[in-house]
Amino acid sequence: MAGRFTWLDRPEGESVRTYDNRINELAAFHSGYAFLSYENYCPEFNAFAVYTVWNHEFNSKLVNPLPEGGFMMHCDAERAGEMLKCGHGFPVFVKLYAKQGRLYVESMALADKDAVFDLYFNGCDVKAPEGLVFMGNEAPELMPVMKAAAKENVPGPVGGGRGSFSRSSYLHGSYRKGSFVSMHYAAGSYIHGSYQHSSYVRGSYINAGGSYKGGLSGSYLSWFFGGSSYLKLLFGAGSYRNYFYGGSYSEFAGSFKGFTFGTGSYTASSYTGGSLGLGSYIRGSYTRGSYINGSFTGRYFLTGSFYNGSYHRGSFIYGGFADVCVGSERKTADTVNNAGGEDKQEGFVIRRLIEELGYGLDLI
Amino acid sequence: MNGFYSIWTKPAGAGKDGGFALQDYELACLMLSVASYENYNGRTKLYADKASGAFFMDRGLDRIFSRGMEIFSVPDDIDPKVFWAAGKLCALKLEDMPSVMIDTDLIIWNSLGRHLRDKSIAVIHREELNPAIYPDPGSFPMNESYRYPGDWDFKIRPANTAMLYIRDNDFRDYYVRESLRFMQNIRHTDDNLCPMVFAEQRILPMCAAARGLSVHSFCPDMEGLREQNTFTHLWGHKNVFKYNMDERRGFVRRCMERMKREFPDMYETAASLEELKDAVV
Repeated sequence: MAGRFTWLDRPEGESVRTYDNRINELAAFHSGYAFLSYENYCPEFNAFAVYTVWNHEFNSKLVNPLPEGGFMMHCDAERAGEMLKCGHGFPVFVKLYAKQGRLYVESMALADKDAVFDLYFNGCDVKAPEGLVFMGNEAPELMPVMKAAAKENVPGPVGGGRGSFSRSSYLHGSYRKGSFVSMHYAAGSYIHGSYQHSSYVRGSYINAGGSYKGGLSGSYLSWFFGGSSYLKLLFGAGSYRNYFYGGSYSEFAGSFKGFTFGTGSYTASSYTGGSLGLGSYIRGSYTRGSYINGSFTGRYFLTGSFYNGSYHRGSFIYGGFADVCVGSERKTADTVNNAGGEDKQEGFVIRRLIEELGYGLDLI
Repeated sequence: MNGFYSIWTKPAGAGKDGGFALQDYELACLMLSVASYENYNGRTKLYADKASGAFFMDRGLDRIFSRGMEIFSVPDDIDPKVFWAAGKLCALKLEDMPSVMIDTDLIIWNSLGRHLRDKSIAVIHREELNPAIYPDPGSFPMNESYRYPGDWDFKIRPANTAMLYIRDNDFRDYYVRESLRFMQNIRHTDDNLCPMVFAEQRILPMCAAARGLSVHSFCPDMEGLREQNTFTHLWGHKNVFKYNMDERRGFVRRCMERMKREFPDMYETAASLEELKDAVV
């Protein structure tokens, strides 16, 4: 079956030189999507590590097929916040370059309304999002592989609608209402229902289990993504809440286990297993914090997986190498435990430059 | 001091689009590496499999190695996806020691002679024994008949062999034999990192210790890599060149400028190549 990108092939009869010229004269075109998340943002460098999804057919034609991760995009914090609220992937435009009849990527850019952001590869780690939302109706056509994969994973209905759903893994539309059980992903401007086993919920208005209070009572809520000023309270009935993003008035109450991400102007409680906090004021006692970012008055950060004075991630930091962050300082868990010692841990980006991105390059 | 390079194309799936081809940055780096090594250290040789050998022959590039090129192969029972660097070990098996094994993305800018004079084994640097990369050997799915030698100390830090010097054939044989034995006795796995670095980087220093030999390291820790002025190693930066054309063009141009300035004969050869014509300076 002919694909959408067969015009990138060199037809019989077209010389290598003509082909190279034809490709090199092409404008950049839409060939993938980029996904942004708080976890992948580094305020110190004003940069996102970007997760990308490429059209499989397009990617297969490249000499060096593009990876899903490793791309960096500079973006100031204000713009980053706006883009994160969008809740969908952003189209990526690729300018190709042909040499001796072979296809390479010349440059890439992410497009968002009135702005274009250069994407460049530097090998950075990026955490893949748990769910992917493409913008508009074009995405499934652009992403035949993704679409096929989604179908395979979705026993329940896919797309807009209302009613009662069970075990749906991908929902996308402007209105959702019903009871979701084992829902993996939902996105829309209005989501109403009671949720259990939800792993990613996103919308401008989320009302779960009550009116305007945003209370959630599922026991396996692993991702809750609000971004709404209506989202004010997250009750602590569940024991596996792992990800929460609220609006500017988010408040948390109760005792949480496995609480991972909080943002808002005020949070105060007692957390165990809290992993990530972001906001201007976070108070409480934390254990096992693994990603801390922001300005804190929190007191105890112990045995965290990552530190981040401003940025950090990487599964290689565990146990004795675990970093913790207290305010603007950062210390290793070993340092904390041993009451002394020099901290030689460096930011994630720098670490990769040394260990994985080569050395002595300036000698040439 | 002799040196050698090796290219085994099977892990990269050579032939899927009509044949093996080095990309411009790979070619520029290798040519600069060969020129610099031959200038400061000694004669070089390339061990190439059939696909890469054809690439070099077609362009007359086998002649840039003063000891020439030799076609070699890797046993079929070694999984190229898992043990993508097995070609290095198989080339090492063929090379007479003492010699220096050099990765194609590594450039040595100085003479190594005085550093290696009294050494049995030398590597570029040591690695931290990070369990995520170097897990407990017991976790590898080995054939039931396979046994790790009882005199191996698994606490020894791995050694990075982007550059490896071995003085005598006896130790070389021991290391290569054990490394290949490990590769040929692992059951199917999709892990393409941990088994490979075990076979290449951990077995070496464990074999050395078992023989009572020490492994000299040019940079004992990672910090030293930033300060040294002997090695350029593209390492993961190759991925940047794959997807970042500006960086790539800049790198190739710098390589060409350096060749023109210091190794004009090699530059002349490089400038005649279709792959590098855009970077002629």
